[in-house]
Amino acid sequence: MPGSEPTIAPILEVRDVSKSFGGLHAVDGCSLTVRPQTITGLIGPNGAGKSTLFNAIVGLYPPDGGEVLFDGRRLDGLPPYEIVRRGVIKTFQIPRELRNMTVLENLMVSGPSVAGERLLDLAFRPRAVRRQERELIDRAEHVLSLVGLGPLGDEYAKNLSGGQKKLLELSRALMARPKMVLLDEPVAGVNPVLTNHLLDVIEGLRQRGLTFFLIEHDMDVVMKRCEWIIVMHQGRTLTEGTPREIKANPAVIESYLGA
Amino acid sequence: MSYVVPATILAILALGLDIQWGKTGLFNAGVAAFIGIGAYTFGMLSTGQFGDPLFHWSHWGPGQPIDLIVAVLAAMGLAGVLGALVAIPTLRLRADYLAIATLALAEIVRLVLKNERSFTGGDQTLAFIPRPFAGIVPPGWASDGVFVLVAGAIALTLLFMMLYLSRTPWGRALKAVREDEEAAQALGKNTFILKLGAFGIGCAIMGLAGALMASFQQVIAPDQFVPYTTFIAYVVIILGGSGNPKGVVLGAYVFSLFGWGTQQIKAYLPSAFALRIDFVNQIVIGILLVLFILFRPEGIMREEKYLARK
Amino acid sequence: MVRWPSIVAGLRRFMRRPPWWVIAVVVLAAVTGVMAAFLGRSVIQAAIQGVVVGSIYVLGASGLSLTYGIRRFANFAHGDFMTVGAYVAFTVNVLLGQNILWGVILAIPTVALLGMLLELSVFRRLEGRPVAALIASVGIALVLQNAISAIFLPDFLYLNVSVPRDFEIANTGLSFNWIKGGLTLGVSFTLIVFLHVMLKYTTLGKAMRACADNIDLARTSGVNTRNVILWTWAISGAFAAVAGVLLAIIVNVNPLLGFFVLLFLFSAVIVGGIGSPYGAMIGGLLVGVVQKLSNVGFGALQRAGLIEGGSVYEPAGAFLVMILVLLIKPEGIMGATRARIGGRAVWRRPRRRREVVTSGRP
Repeated sequence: MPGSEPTIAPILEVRDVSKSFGGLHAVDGCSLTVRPQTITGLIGPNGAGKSTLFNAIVGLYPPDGGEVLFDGRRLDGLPPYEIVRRGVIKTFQIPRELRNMTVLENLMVSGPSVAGERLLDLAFRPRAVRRQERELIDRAEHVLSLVGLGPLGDEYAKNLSGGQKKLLELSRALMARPKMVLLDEPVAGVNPVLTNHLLDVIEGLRQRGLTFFLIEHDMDVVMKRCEWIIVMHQGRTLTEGTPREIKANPAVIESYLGA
Repeated sequence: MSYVVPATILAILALGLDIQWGKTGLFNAGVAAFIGIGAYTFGMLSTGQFGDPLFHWSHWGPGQPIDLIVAVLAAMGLAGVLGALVAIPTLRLRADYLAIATLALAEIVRLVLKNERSFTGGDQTLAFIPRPFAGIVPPGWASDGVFVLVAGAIALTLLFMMLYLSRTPWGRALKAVREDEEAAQALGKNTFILKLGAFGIGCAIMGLAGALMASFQQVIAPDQFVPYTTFIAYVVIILGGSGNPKGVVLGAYVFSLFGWGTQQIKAYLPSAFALRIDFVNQIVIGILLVLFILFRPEGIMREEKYLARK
Repeated sequence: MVRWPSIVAGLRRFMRRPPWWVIAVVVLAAVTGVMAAFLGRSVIQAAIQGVVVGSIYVLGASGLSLTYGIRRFANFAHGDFMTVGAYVAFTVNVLLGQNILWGVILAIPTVALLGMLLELSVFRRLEGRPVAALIASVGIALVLQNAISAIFLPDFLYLNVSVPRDFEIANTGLSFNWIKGGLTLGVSFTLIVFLHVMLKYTTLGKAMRACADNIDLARTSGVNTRNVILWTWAISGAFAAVAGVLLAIIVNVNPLLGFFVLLFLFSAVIVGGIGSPYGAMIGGLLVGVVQKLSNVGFGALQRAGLIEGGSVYEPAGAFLVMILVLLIKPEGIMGATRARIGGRAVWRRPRRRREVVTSGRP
């Protein structure tokens, strides 16, 4: 029963965040929290503001108002690279692979700055650079095999299939050694076998301490895999609860029909 | 000699631009200005306050000619720093706006070089710029030969440096910025610093090319640093292979061959043709550029694939 | 019936934050006034010259803005379109000895066809690759310039047009020329009105605006986008041809005629706002006036001994204004397109503190 559990501090807090484009209020005073080491779902009809909220959290669109707190510290207003350094990363709904680079390169370039990316380090710390490069390659190959893309390491990213590009999005996020991953429709358009595999990987990672916050339209996936669901409607939270509670909630159904 | 050295200098220039355009996708249309800044800095420092004895223009500068190596480093440093300064406000502009802004800035630089005569010698040119080892080697064949060696050594070193940088995480991060800057940001890269570094280093190399040019020609004029110069650099990279340092160098030598060849043929043509051959040359270049952009934008030698474990 | 409340409301909104172009014109007038107070009548003369030269920029920039809006790339060959127009007029006017009017009448379809040809052969294949299209247009510009040089040789040539002498405006000491000034202003004004009417009221015009706004939407709404694009190139070319002839009348005929004004045209388009022909109009006038004002201004600086070159720096004034606009308000006066990559230009600085990062290792 909720209430009888000890309250766990949320890992992500969104407080009254707003983001408009021109006259359109995509996110309009949205507040929510995400508990650590969970797979939390974010659902809502099209135009509810879910993707915009994700972009606002990771700093791609700075919010017009409100605050975003991660691990108790403010994220809003920080540049995206700093937010990644703090442990939050997002995947893109439509995969944005780095086309003319290999899959391995795509992974190796993900994550906060490495020694070899700073010119001073290249000049004065060549051994550290070489060591980190070897570690990067090892880690990248490990992530690739975890996700099932193992043999494709040297393939140009532009040559991957749609489903493989989705896997690439996830692997890049993992390379950044995040504490929380925001997934924007991670299995949209992916075949069922691959979908299950992806979600098993995600669950496995969750058990090892990661938090996942995901936007998804496939209700099957959301109901089966998320332990907590937040519903957005017209730029703010409508309600939240366990899958069973949400399924039975008439307001949720109405928001989908009305939108 | 009218072929090898200009081609080598062009190769060095192209390697600098390749970092900006080929690797990072920055459309710097002000290349000519950075070459000019490098050339004039070197020229003014290395000639000291010696005016041009023919016209008695006095150029600003130190009281004495300065050691050539220091002059070259100063040329590179100034070009690089100015490049970084220009970059700071302009790098967040999208590609075509960046091109127009840098083109406009380059024209302003050229106007300044041309008109501030007491500073640069203006249209009357800056002359008597020394060659390396000028005290030891007599002018003429020997001096030319020495210059070929010096320029060649510099070019080779730079080529290896570029090949190395391509395989470093820095080079990889630059490629990511080129492919999709927003995605690179979302993945955790500070794209602004990366672009700034690429722009600054590229401009420093362009300054080096300018200094070499000044030393080789021993006389420089502002009208050598016009948009067409910038255009040539881009043609070399696009035809040779953007993103591939070896391709870029190849492009420089092939392009220079074409130009040099045209000049040689001139002597054998009837006057009506000889007059027009330069225009035909440029028409061919323009058509080649369009064809390559349409059908083979990677250039002759495409960028090499990164293979982690060879 | 016009309602009072809406007029008052509109005026209130106007007063609170007038549209950018009004601000720009007011600022420019103020600067002119200040300069005139210090430097005298030559400033006013410069302003008049600026409006004249600016109206040519308006013609050129409008055409440029049309193709920029619909094909989404900077056509660096546009200046050479103007040059081609000038040379066709020259051929008809000088080599064939006909009236200049025939020259213009022949120049217009020639350049229009040129534009359409280039669209069909080159730019259509470069859809979605704006930088590649830009580079291709530079290549084309080179071909055009040099083809003209090869045929006509690069000497300065002159059109056979009798230009009356300047006359003085009503004892003010300011001079004006009926042909160089009056004809230019008149023709430009007429063509701009024509463009405005066409864009606003004709089917083609509305289709052009729709395509410039969102070409995929236009296509699915049934607009024949391929034809509309061709027509856009034709009109753009026509305007370029007229601008080229006018420029040739004022200056001379040489292969680099159009290329030389290209940067001014881009300045006009950027200051006015990409994708808005009305922006190009205001931008063209602004750039022209700024250019001529800075001619006088730099001349004054030269006389004061601060710099050596003087009125030669007049391009610098216009370019500096363009660069300022790019840095401060890159969408331009009337534009709305996204000019910067990514979002905000300035981020909050993260506080650098050494912290222990615990992470869930994958």
